[in-house]
Amino acid sequence: MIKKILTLTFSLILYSAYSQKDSINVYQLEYLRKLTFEDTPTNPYISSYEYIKFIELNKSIYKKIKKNKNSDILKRDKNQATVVDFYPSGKNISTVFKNYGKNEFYSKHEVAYKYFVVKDKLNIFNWSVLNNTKEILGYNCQLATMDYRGRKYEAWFTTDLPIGGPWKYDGLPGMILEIKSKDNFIAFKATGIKNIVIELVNIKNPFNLKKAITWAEFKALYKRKSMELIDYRPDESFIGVESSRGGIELYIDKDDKEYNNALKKLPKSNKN
Amino acid sequence: MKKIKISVIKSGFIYLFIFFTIKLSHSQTIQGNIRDSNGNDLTAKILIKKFDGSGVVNEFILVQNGRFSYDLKKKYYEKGFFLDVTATGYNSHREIVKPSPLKKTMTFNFILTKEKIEILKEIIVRGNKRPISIKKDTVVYNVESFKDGTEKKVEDLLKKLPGIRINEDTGIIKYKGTTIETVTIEGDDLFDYNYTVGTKNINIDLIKKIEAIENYSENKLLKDIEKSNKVSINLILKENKTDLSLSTEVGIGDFSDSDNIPIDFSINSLAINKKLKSFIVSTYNNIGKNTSPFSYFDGQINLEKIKEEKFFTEKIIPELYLQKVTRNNLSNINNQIFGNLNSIFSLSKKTKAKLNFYYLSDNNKTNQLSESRISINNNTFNTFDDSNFEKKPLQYRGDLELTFNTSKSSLLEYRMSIRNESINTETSIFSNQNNDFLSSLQSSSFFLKQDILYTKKISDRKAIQLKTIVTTNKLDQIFVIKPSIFDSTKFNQDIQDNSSKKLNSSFKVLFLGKTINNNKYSFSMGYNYNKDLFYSDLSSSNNSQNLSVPNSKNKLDYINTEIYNKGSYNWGIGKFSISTKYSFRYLNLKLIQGNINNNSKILLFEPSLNINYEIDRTSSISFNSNFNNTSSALRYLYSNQILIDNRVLKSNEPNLSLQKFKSFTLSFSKNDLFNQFDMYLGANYINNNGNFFSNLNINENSSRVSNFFLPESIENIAFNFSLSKLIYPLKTTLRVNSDYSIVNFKNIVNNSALRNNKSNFFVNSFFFKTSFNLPINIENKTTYTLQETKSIGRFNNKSIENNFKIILKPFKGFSASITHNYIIPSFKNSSNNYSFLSSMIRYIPKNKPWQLELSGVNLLNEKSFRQESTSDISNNTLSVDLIERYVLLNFLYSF
Repeated sequence: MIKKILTLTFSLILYSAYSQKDSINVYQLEYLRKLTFEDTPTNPYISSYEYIKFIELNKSIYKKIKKNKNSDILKRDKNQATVVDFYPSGKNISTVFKNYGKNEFYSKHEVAYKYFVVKDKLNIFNWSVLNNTKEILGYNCQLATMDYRGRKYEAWFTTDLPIGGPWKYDGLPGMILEIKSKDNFIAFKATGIKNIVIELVNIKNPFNLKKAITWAEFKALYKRKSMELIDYRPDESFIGVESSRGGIELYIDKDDKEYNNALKKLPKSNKN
Repeated sequence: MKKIKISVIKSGFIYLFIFFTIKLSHSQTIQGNIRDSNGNDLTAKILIKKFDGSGVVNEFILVQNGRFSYDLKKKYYEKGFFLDVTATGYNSHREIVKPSPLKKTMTFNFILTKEKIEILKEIIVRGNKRPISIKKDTVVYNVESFKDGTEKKVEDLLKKLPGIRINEDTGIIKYKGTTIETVTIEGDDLFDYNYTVGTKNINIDLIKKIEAIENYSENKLLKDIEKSNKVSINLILKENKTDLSLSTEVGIGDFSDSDNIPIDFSINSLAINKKLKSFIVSTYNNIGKNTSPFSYFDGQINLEKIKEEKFFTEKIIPELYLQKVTRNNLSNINNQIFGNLNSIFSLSKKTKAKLNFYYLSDNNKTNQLSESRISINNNTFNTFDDSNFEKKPLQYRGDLELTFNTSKSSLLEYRMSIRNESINTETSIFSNQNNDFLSSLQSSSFFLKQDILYTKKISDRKAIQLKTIVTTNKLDQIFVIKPSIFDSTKFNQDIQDNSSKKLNSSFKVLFLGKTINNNKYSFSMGYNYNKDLFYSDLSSSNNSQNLSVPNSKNKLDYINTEIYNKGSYNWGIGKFSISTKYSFRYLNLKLIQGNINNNSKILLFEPSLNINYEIDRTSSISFNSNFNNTSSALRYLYSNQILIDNRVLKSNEPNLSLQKFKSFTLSFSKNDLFNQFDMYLGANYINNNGNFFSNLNINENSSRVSNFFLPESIENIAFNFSLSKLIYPLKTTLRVNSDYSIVNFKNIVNNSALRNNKSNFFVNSFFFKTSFNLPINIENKTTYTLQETKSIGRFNNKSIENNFKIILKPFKGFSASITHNYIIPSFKNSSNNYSFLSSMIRYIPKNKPWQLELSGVNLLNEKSFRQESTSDISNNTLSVDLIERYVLLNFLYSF
């Protein structure tokens, strides 16, 4: 399901030292992400992420927190100016950049070990707000549900914090502090919240937009390559490569006849 | 809404009515804009809440650029509601909408005033954090997804996993090009290097998942500290199979010509519980199968042999080995019994014991005809040997390993291995020599190895290891040939009696660590002590006397001691990963032979460098260079003659000079799954300075070889190329392989001057495999081989081999395959060609504990197979007998 991801590094460093400085409100949230695979329900994959919203810029960045490294992306340089170090590097392709002003967000997706920048709209989430409430990290939160790209979700958001949420999830009138799919596959939970003011001019989109594709284009490409890989047999023992139907999101619809037909060639297909 | 509107346009009045009704009963629109006091549009949110004091949001509007228009989903006109309008950086605004008669549209113009930025006191809230546990180095294969019903044993499935390759001959498994260290079961290393016991014998039905683990450390304390290119494979059992599973396979059939019955029998058990993990297997077969990790038939070197080579004394008289013919191994006319037990016991929380026992016996009977046409100095003659062999290997072996987790950060391990092996080969030879011969070779070997390893983890980044190894190997070889090859009139036999002993002991301190940037390094110091004792005697005898052959007594002591310091450092710099190593060795060699005492002391510096550059995610370039020195092997150090077989007598002019090697490899690889395109291009250059060359005196009846050392350098070059690509419209993948190597060597033949010889080896293959959406698929591989040896004369041989396979899956549970191999061993004599046909039908019923398999092997009943080769003085052919046609019905049952 989660592919063995090869290294790809891109980085963006923004210095505000030489430009006009503006005070910017920054909300920094830490999330624990839990991925639970059906076959290993007792052994989930857990990792830490951070979501940073730059309020006045109306933009946000979400990325993995690197272990063993001084991972604060906000640092003070020698001149006491804030430096935003942003390295969506290595195996981490789960970085998401949201531009609330333009109503867009960007993420990276993989097709057969090749990465593509995918551009999405922020208004794709069809939330229904329910009356249930609970407290998370001292914030009053309210329950909302939605169906999103193959899974049903439950989310807890608080209107006391700005709009935002981990990974791609968004579109509620506040911060999503907890979200999980009803099938238990994916869950996020906020573990820390920090609000600081920094001086910063702007934050650029870290993704290379030259070859950015839309979600629909990505889905079509993913399906085409998956069908080709089913037929790949570079030596005697090869019986073809089966791609996952998706990751957290579904890439190939479950009732896609063309693909399901091609899958029959493989000995036994995964039922995901 | 949309639908309804469209309907309205379509057809008239009734729909218009419905439209209004819906609008009236359900929909109320709120619209307007949000601006700041300067009239700038704001991005804000509007929360719609009821007056119930709960504060819960009933609905919300996210406002982009000031303007909004929203149809309320719920009804509020009875109790009223309020709107909370907030925008970051602005004071929020609450608008109360009182219960009122229904308005279809309500318009609001909100103006928000700028808030004084007040910094929230840095709030840091933390929840319970669980340890991060990501399996970053592990690829997990789900067994069911790769099964197509044609696999029985773990090995059959491993072959099909992307990234995993299995050497057909040795069973050695490679993952992404790296030889794996071991195969573990649920994380426990039952088999060590002899993991083929497991992969060849464990039923795939028991296995749920297979994991390939990169950066594997057999020592858990060194995980992430040691620079590990090591890879291991872990088998995860199905949940219901973790207690005890027994399975048995019985195959019985019919040979076409002989009265013997082909038999393939095996029984094995896998038991796993908290205290004990064990795998026991016993097998018998006479159809050429080798279920053991040892190879007595074709002399393939297994992983353990590679790792332990330096502890074993050399066999000066080589054993008989045969070439492999087809994947059914038709030249292995055998009678193999193999028994093996592997278990790990947890004696206490801190102590584990592992036991391995092996038993193997075999009986290979075969006929081999070897013919050579030799041309030297305008003199041409032919030789032939028609030999009937009976070879009986017998092995007993026991291994013990004790592991003490002395503390959380330290580990003490003790290992012991005792092995007893004897091989008896009886041969009758009919040849172009004057006499027919009967010969026997008896090789008996005893081996004892003990080692103690202590590992201490100093910190998360540092560890230290102390290791000491002591080994003893004793080998006796007695070769008897009747009548005497020296004087058959006087003597009725010659006896070559060799006995050798090797003692090895070593001690090492190893320090391992990694820097903050995760650059890994190691530093070690230690000593090695190696002593070879060798004695040999050749005599001729008859009933009354026993006479030593002149110049045939060898007695030598060879002592090789070294003190060393080694180090390594590995960097990752951007797309480069660089690994450097060095070794300083102070070497002391001593050779005592008769009255001659040679001694050589030398300080050596041996560096190596490995650079890998990742061009992009799919392609990389790597460069490798190595400098090293090797000391002379025992086979080049005895000075008096030793009889090897019915023709060859060998001796040496001993020399303690070192052989110096420089090796450089440059390669490019691309693995592009997106375009289904793989490519590898590699070149290797080896310069070898100082070598033993042979001085050969050969005639129709005998050969005398004397090896001598020359400080001359020779060069070997090799190129490899492979490319594969899927042609999607044809649903066919193509692959081309091309290997070319040039080997240079020198020798003296029949008192010639020193000759320069060059051997070229060129192998090309073309392969395709289909993936039709049909019950039938095919694959085909054609291999063309050119072998050429240039000396004063030129000897070459061209051969071609074609393997064709049809795979049928007519309906569920059934699978079948038909394989045809066609071989022309030499173009010069293309009428001499071979066809091998075999077939297999398997039935695996669903949810039943049994399987059935019917196979037919060598269906065209080829009786023998002849292969051709060249040397610098000859063209040679070697013909071996094959297992005759047989059909076999296998029944497999799991308890």
